[in-house]
Amino acid sequence: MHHTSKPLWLWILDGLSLLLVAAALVVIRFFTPVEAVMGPVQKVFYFHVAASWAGMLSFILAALAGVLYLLRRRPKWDWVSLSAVEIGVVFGLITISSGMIWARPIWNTWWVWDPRLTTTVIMELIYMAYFILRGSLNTPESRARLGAVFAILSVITVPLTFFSIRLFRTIHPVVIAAGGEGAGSFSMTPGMQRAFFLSLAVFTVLWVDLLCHRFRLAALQDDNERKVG
Amino acid sequence: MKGRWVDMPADTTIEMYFGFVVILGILGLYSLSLVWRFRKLRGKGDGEDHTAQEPENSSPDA
Repeated sequence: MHHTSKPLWLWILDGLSLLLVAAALVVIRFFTPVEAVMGPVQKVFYFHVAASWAGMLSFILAALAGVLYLLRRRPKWDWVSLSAVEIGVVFGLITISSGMIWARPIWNTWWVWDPRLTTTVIMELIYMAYFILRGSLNTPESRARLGAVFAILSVITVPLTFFSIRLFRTIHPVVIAAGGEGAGSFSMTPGMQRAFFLSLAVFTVLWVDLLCHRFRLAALQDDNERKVG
Repeated sequence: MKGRWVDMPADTTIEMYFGFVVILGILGLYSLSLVWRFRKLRGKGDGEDHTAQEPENSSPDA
């Protein structure tokens, strides 16, 4: 398999991702209402939630790919799992840092050990440890096998993080709430909802794009290792 | 007086820009790291040295 030449569809996906991110920024900045109390900083929320969504999607995919690897022992499932974890960690970093920037003027602090924030950090740290684990193993097979087990076990942190604001008392806003709003929530106007769903869609496309690139990198890495080995 | 206070959103424009710069910055840096790592690996795999002066016919595809 030759992985080095970038296919046309990936160029198109790159362009589409860039275009969509730019369009989302324009919509959020100029065509979305300013929240009545928090002011413009609330607009960070659209990318903050979208990044969190992309991160959690990554970790779920990593676990699924891990299961498929253990069942079929095909390296490509390990590449998917590895790629998804790496991208998930990047989106997790975006979620945490954008949340801190949003929190500073609203909560008057960069950080508070709230259940949602704490579970998010735990999730991020656990997935960072995935790379330490892989780095400590010598053979591609052991890296793939233990990486798959790690990704499957770690996925428990995803529902824990998602439901933490519903299970515990928290100051974190509950945006997607059935039948009402939780503590610290704000109600979204139709204009805000449009920006919210647009951001989710844009980050999903971006997520697919980054995943394809990372997968190609993993495939090339494997090719090189086989040549050397 | 009360109505005016309630209706006035906080001036957090700088924080908004800061947030978007950080988000796009992380995404940009990660994308660059992907490109850089891919080129480095491809150079290794093909036995080509991208840092050396390429004599001729160097492929422009990224």
